[in-house]
Amino acid sequence: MSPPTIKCPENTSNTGAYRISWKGPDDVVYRLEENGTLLYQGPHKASTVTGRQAGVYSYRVGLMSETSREVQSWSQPCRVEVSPPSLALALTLFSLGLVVFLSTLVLIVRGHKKHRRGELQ
Amino acid sequence: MTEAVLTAETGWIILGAFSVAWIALGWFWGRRHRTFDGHVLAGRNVGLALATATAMATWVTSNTTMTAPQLAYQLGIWGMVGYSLGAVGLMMFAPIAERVKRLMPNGYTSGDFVRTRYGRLGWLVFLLISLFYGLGWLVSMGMAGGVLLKALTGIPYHVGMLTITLVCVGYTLLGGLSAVIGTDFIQSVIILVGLVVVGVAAFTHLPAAEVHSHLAENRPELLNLLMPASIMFLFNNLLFGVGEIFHSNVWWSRAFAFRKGKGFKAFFTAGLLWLPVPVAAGAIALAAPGLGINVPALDMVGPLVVGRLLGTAGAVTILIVVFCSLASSLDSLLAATSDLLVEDVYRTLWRPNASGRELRWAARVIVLVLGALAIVLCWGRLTTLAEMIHFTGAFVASTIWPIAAGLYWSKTNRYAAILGMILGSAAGLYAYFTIGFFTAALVGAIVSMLCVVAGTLLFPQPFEWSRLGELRRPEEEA
Repeated sequence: MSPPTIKCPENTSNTGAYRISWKGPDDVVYRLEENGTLLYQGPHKASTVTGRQAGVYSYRVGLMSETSREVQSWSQPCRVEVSPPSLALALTLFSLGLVVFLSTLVLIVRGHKKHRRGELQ
Repeated sequence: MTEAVLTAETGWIILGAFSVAWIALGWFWGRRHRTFDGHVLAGRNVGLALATATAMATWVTSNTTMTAPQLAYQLGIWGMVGYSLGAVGLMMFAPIAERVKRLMPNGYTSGDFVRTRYGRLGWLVFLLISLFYGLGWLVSMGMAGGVLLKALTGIPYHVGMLTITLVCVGYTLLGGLSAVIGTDFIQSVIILVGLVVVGVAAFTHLPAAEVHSHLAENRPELLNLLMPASIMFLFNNLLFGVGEIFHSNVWWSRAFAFRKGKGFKAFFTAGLLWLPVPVAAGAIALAAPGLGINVPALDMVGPLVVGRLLGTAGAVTILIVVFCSLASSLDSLLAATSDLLVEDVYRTLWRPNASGRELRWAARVIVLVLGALAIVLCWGRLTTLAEMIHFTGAFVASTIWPIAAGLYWSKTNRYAAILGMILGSAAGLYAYFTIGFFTAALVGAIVSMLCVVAGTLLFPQPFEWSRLGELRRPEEEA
């Protein structure tokens, strides 16, 4: 049987969460490895990876032999780069979000008090 | 390819039983209303218990029960907590519900408010945003139905999606808002009981300490409280929820439908009840790595974990809970979007003197068309649920300040409000594509607020509140 064809995300991941999928025959066992370590072994043809820190990760998927339970053929490796946004940008947007939320809250609470007093009719 | 926990036969039995029940109830409740007000606003007389239940159940969407686990699995602790901040939107809408009920005793839609407050240009921009969001939400729920049934029962995605959408179209068509609110009440009870059962059972099977130690070892970023994407997601999700509720006719139609004096209590209580739901639903997903569960698609993580942990009983419970949460939102959205199109397009632009009977029929035809459109758009399953939903975040968050300032400031500048919606949406979309999905609503809301505040301070435009009370109801036949 020909080796599976693996597909990694084309773009850099900014969350450390992404999906690795592969093509190959049905009803067989695949072995997915990340940097040479087993990540998944079973019949699925995709796996979602999450919680990865910044860095480059290499993946390959192997087609397991039904008799020997060893990898019969490996796919070409593919790489995913995890590059999160900077913490400074994150904290800036967090602060701005807090300002927008509090401003909206003040607008509504003050408006509601005036509404109840009948000043906005 | 995944191993379904339930057989397709079990899936069809559950689906069939609930579908028959919802459609029968829709027909039963729909019989009572023979006027346009009765059909689209349940006679404007919904009491506190039903009002609270419908607000809570509608906000517990399939997105809550399926996307909350997805976001916890993707963004970790803050993903889960951030999703629960969606409750803030419901609570902040409580005073708005009270105000619109008093200002617009004959109002039908959020479009009625925007048209009267900001004129036709603002109304057009708002309508485009609202319809785009409505379709996005419809599609995300149709997709969720297909994904859920496939994950739990092995029923093919297209068959599941088609069945669930058609059932919701059926009973919304028959019963209007009365059917939607009545079924929401039953669905909210099932959702709350089901989630408590699943949550308690799940953490009895897998202690929290074990989940934590496995995450710390293998997926440390999910526990990192300084993960940049998660930090940005917190207020992004809060503002997204606020924008969804402030602008959407799903919530405005409820504000008009609730009995006078009940809107504030109903929305505030519903927010409090909703707050723990995403945490309960999301926490389950964090157990996936520890259980060695492979997740082929992000949006399947919740059902897969429950199926593995609790076996057949858990899978049956989660199937019923998600089916109820999905139906309670899909029906609401179909009804509210249909009302928006009937009132704001059919009646306002085309047939201003249409009778109540004619409008009722128009509402039913539009529900059918919306259902068909949702099925067509769901067919390709273009993206994951969370990506689909957050794409619309840029648009809806840009309406927060135009709505809130339009309701509470008498001098809000109409052009600033319109510009706020346009520039906010554009900036949010830019952030979505350049930074990530977790910033679209945040950036949209910031830009929109700046536009509204600056424009109003520089060029205030007085508005007479009494104009909002001049809206008229259609003539009803004897």
